[in-house]
Formats: sequence, C-alpha cells, structure tokens
Amino acid sequence: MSEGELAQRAAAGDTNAFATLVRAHQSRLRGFLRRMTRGDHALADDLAQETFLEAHRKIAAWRGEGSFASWLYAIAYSRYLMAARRRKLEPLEDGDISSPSPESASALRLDLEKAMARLSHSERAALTLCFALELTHEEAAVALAIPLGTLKSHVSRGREKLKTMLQMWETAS
Amino acid sequence: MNDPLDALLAQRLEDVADNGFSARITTQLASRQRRDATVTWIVVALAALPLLWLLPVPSISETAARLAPALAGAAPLALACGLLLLTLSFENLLRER
Repeated sequence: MSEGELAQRAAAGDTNAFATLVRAHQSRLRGFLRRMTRGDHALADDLAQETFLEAHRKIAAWRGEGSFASWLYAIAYSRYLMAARRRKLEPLEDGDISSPSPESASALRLDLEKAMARLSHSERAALTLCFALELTHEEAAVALAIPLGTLKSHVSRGREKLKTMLQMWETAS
Repeated sequence: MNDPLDALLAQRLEDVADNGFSARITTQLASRQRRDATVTWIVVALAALPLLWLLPVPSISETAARLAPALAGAAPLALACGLLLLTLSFENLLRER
C-alpha cells in the first residue's frame, strides 16, 4: 500500500494505517532530530512524538504533494525551532575546537557530528536533509519553509564551514 | 560525489531502534481519540439538556404506551428485528474468524 493510501486511511480514522507510517519513518525522523538537538536523545524523542501527533491531527491536510517524509520533516523542524527558542539552544562556540585526528571511519563520523553542532540550525538541517536523508533541494526547501536559493546558500555555506573545521582539526592534531 | 566531505555527509544517519516508540504513539493516539469522543459526548449532552424542558414528555409517554402493544404484536417489526439479529451474529462470526 502506498503512503498516499495509508495517509488517506489514517485521515479516515484508521489508527493501524497511521501506525504503519510511524514505524516506517520513526528511525529517520528521530535520527534527524538527534542530529538537530546535538545528540540529546530524550529531547529528540519528545520532539519526534510531538511531530507524529501533530501529523496525525493534520494528516487530512496532506494532499500528497511532495513526499510524506518531507512533510513530516517540515513539522519536525518547526517543532525543533520552537524548542530551540524555548531552551535557547545555540550553535556551540569555537572554544572547544581541539579534536582527535580522525583515524577511523567512526572517528571521522564523530568529528562530523562535532562540526555539525557548530553550524546554525538551518545549515545543519539543510545539510542533513539534502545529504543524509537524500531529499531533493526543492523538498528540503519546502521542509524548512525557505526559498530554494536560500536553501542552496545554507548548503554551500554549511559545507564550507564544515570543510574548514575538519581541516583545522586535522592540522591541529 | 568525489568530494570526501560530500561522501561523509551522505552517510546514512544511524538507525534508531524502535524500542516501543511506535507503540507509545499509537497508545497516545488511542487515548486522545477516547478523550475527544468523551468531550464530544459531554458537550452534546450538555447542549441537549435544555431541550428536555421543551419536550412534551407526558404526551410522548402517553403515545408510546398506546402504541407499544400494537408494535409488540406487529409481524413486520418482529421480522426486521430477527433479520437485524441474524446480520449482527453473522458479522460477529466473520470478525472472529
């Protein structure tokens, strides 16, 4: 059954159809929110839960334009921004810039996560949606509710910052 | 994707095990739906309460008392009730299977 059909059934009150959608998307959505919250699993899971409950409430409004995933990420990102404002979550400062040299794939990944934490909310979200979650630029722009040009500049500025940070850590070690 | 940074960025996010997360959402939805239904019934009941004062209760009960024996002895009504019972039993049987 397609996601469109599942969403239609969920809108008609079929809880099992919605549960299928939750099971299909929970891992990627929670992964996205964990990265956005810089590894705060409890906060990420709370936000994911709020996202799914809001999605259920509004599911009749999703008309199948764009993917269901990008619609979910849009809700998740706006929930995240609200939480970030409430909790005053800002990108990390450059004070703790020292990092071990990435010698293995997992160390490299760890460095990427550390560097990601220093990007702005929108740069982190744009890079995660476009690369790790494989959304098109158009879908990511819709999910973040920004114009396509702005999304592209977030992606390119984020990439440049990451490159600089990772190179700096490599030469420092 | 030749750039090593792009390759690093394109790595899938680590899988997050469900560990009851989906079940918690479903449970919350069910309890929210129950709560919404309860609120709806309460609102409807409260809205209907003033209507009771307007209803001609004595005249209704008098009519019901007059018609009840006739209705109880009506063959078409008995047939309809029987059919309804049969349909419900059949549906129940199908659901159990």
